[in-house]
Amino acid sequence: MLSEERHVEPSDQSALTQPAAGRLVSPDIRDEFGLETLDMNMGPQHPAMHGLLRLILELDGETVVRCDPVMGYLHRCQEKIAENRMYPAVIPLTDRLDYFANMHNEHGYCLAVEDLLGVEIPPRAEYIRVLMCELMRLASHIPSVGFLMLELGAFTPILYSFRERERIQTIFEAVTGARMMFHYIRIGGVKADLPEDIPQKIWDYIESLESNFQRDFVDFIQGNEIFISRTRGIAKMTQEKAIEMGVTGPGLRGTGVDFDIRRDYPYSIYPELDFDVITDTEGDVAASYRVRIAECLQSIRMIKQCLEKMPEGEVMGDTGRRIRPAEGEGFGRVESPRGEYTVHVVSDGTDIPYRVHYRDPSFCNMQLLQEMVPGHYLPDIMPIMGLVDPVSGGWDK
Amino acid sequence: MPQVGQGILKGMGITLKHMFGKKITRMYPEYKRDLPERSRGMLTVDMDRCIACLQCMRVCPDHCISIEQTKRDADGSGKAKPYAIGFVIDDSRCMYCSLCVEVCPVNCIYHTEEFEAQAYNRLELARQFGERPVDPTVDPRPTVKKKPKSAKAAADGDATKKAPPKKAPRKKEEAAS
Repeated sequence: MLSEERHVEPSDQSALTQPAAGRLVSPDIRDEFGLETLDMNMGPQHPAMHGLLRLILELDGETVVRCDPVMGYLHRCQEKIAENRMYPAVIPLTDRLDYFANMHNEHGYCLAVEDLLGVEIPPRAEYIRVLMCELMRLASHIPSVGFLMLELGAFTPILYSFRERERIQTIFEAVTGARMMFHYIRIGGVKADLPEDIPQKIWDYIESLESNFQRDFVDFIQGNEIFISRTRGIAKMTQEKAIEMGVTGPGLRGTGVDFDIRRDYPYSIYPELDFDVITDTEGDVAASYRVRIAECLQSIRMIKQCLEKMPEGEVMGDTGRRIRPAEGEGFGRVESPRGEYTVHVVSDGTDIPYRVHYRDPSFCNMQLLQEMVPGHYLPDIMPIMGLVDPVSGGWDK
Repeated sequence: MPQVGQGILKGMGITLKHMFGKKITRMYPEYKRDLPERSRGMLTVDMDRCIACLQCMRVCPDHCISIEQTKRDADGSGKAKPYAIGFVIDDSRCMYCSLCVEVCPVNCIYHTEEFEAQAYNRLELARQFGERPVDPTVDPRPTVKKKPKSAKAAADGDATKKAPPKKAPRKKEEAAS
């Protein structure tokens, strides 16, 4: 029932020419009947595709021989627009990048500009930032699991995951004023302090999530036979391969590489928090699902610590009325739900950035498709998209 | 194999439990939930308080606010002060970033709880607040001017002179190190 080792190493060229487990037509038969491979476009508007992505597929029977992702259908020139705006006015733009990790985008950009300015952030602002970022991670990881299941044909988990996401968004709305495009983390701190009743609301929500989490996202999914047979051994990659491809985030940690920006290149108050970096050994789609689920529990742990330890005080540092950094470069690295998100800001001494560059994990993880999809069946593309978990606004910028 | 289908049956049991639980969906147009205090809806202006300082127009990243300024003795003090005779907010451009609200010194521009903006064409979304309508299609700040690099450069250089070509910042770092 549970298929073991369905995956064929894509680097192994013999797998593409020899009939492996009845999947590929043997070259003799192909020549005899004049069979050819079939070119097919998947997307850009496809009901199961994550956003606007087009895959050019070459099919041999039902097996994918070649897969080329084509990006650019949602390109908005974010980096160029940022070169014509003042430093604070770029923050609302970063919200529009990876729209499932808006807080992390803002945080990364603000860290880069603060690196340029050398401004000191009040401790309460740091705690609020981390609290919001971890809530955002929950609001991103839980729907990721739902999307993975949706792509496998199960509709119910997406409803449960969006129920949780909507509740988190209601908290965000009370704190920031918007459900998705927050514009909350600012250069030097955060926009405003938490409303009085919000810490209690977050605590209550986290408690209720903890009580539901095991039932709705672990028991419900993990033991399901269809889920196991369709994710185990799919897109199985080695640690070397993952590092070579520049994968970050749950996909990398699923292979067993112990790498997390929050711990290895600490920023904000992460050194003060007690959390584990989750790794798995399998390196397939099921492993990335398990990593995401375990990271949600770690986020819950961190949110509780933030609420307990949160100091009183100011939430905005002294940046001056006009933000005009000296010439130089600033970096901000954050661990977004999809992997490493880096912002590089170059200043030429004016109040408008000279260059803003975003290294978005959605874009960099996309390379996996080209390497991992060949050798799999056509329907296995969707679970692999669940592993990569790209967001349209992230890869196109 | 006796264990086949057990996971699926367990999942079915969980969905069945949810079926009898509390419903979380709401019928939106009939039921509207209360918005929080900080909710950022469509912008509006209290023209009686506006002092026509043009700060909101300057700070708006999307150039969605246009103000036509004139001088008028509005409060009867015998002194002509800046007065916003025309004020337009183009909602088709606004991205609700709240920068104008934060910069306003007299708190006359603020977010309402309205969020249902729909119209048959873009010009309907430009809402006029002043006595005299302002053309929303004209960009209030068409060009972006970069300031000179430092106060010294501003003192030395002529205002009309073209800014010196940008130096790569990396070079300076290397020289410093």
